[in-house]
Amino acid sequence: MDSGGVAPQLSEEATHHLQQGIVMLLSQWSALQMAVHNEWGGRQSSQLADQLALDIFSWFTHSREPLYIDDLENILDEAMLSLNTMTEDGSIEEVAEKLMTMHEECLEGNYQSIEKLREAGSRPAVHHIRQAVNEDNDDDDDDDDDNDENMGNDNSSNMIVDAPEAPPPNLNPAEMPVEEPRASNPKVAEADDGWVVVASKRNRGKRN
Amino acid sequence: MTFKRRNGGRNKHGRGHVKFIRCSNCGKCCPKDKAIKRFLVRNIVEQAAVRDVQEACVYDTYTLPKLYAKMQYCVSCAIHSHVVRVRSRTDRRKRDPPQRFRRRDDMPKPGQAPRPAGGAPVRT
Repeated sequence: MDSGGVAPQLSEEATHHLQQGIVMLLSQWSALQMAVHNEWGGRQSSQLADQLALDIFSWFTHSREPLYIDDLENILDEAMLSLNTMTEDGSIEEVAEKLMTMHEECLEGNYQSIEKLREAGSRPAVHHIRQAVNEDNDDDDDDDDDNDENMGNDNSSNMIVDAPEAPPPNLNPAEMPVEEPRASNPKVAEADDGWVVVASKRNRGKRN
Repeated sequence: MTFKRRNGGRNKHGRGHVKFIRCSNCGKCCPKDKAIKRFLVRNIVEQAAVRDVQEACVYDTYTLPKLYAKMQYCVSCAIHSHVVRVRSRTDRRKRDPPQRFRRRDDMPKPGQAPRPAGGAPVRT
């Protein structure tokens, strides 16, 4: 297998490891994976991503002049542009640096970084899409809960503290206006610890 | 009169009308297929302020979140903000991303599926 003329030669085992390392590193690059998963580059996004891995590999092995990280950054940048993605988060520099160090280590026969990547890849990856979905659901719940908790926090401490004891008569007028709207709500469920669960307004609107 | 581009500057085939979208920069109405669409991946905290935020952070290792946005530019804004560039008459016909030199004689991945004969991926 012919490997670059001027650059130091890579053994076959090293090329194999380097190829695997490139693929694993790209699979952990969140911007690229999001672009492929959401097809930001069109229907051919996954093919473009695979082509990028091949391009990087051939650049490492088949370029005759000394390797500069700027050229590698250009390759990554143009690949992301072909996927209609403008990465301004510095991830291109980071990935390029990791690729260069991986290549240098493969030249020396040191495959530790690739092994680390393999272990990191076996761990479950962060799913951006699921997080977004969960955040949307949580945001809906949180808004209502915050409103309820804010209402409850001001008086619930009084309610909790005073509930085991007999409620002092001077606190009754303060508690009455708070309890009335909750008692009048037909969907109120009394919780054991003095909290009152109020159904969210959205469900009420949909059911009506 | 000559045609500057084969597709007329937009991606409308088999339709009479597409709805317009508003440019995310200037608000101009632009047909959805003609707009230049880019996905933006940015850090929420700028590079200069990352160190300050990390020093003030309560948690030891906190990965700063990123901002994902879809930008839709009208042609004027895209050119003005250097998203796209004016190209020469021969360069206008190029639809592929620049091809890197590639050795075809030895396939890097043995057993890989053969590349499409057209070479260039067709943009929908």
